[in-house]
Amino acid sequence: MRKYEKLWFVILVLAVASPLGLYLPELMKAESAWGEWSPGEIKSQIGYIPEKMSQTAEIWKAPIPDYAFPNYAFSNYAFSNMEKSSLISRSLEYIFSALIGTIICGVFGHLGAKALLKRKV
Amino acid sequence: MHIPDGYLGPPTWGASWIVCIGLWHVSASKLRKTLDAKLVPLISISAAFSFIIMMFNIPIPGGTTGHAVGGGLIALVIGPWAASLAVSIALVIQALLFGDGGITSIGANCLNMAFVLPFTSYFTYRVLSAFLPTKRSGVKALAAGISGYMGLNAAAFTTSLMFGIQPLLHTGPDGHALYAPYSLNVAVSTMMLEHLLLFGFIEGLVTGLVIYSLKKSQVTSEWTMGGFLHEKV
Repeated sequence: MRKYEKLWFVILVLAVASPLGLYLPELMKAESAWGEWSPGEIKSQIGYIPEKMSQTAEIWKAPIPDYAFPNYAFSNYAFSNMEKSSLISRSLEYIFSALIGTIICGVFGHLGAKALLKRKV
Repeated sequence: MHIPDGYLGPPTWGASWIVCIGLWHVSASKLRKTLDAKLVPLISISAAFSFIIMMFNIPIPGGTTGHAVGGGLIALVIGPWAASLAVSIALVIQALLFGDGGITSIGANCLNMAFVLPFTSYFTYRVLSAFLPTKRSGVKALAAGISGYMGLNAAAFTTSLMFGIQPLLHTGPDGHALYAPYSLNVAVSTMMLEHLLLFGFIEGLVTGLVIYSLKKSQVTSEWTMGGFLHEKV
């Protein structure tokens, strides 16, 4: 059992360090991943928002969009003009998202694997 | 690599869902026959690991961002079928809870990152281990790293194909794209360039380093490891 605890501890360390995934792109002035632009970004690139894209892009309202609490949700990490305090809160939200996400993945991974195990012949 | 909603037309995301559901079904029936109880905690950790590693966005200075997926590593550790399950779980949670990747495109994203990636890495490793002395930790890590690199690039390729065929399938009478606007040429060359030159190496590095440390720490001695860490293949 202890070996798994070790690995979960590594996951915990990664979760606490996860805001690096926010800061580094910000620091190097890197923008969204290729093909993951918001409709607004698409418009600034090609001059228009593709018609069907504008109809379906917002089809789902995620509860924690872009790993940030909705009130503070700045899409695509474009927060270079934000105050320092909001960078800190953004990091805390990111860590919170990392913890919630890994726990849920862990639970579903466990349940999924267990379910497949039970039906083993 | 997480395709959002609105980028793929219904034929592409619909077909991807159908293929993906078929593959999930195959995956589940494979696991029902082979899944060892010892692997349950590892599948759970693998799903969490894939989720967390994808949060580490790596920048191309002044350009775009990308990230590792961990799918190659997971395939080498718990086998490709279990890996497809673990990575799929991470991708579905990301889409539903965090809006990272679309809902309509869950099938497409799982196809690319939960199937193409782990299976490419797995088979790359199988081929390499036939030629290389992978009993040695360093060589094993190198082979694992190359497998991770190949896997992520294969996934980037199929993702870029999905983006790139959209203008061919869906262009309005005014010549404007209706979904993802970039041509096949642009999509494939841009995505492949950034993955071949940077993000693939990140995935390779993660894969190689973790395999190396798992092997060195002996923490893995009781695990099945997809048959690889003990060279049962």
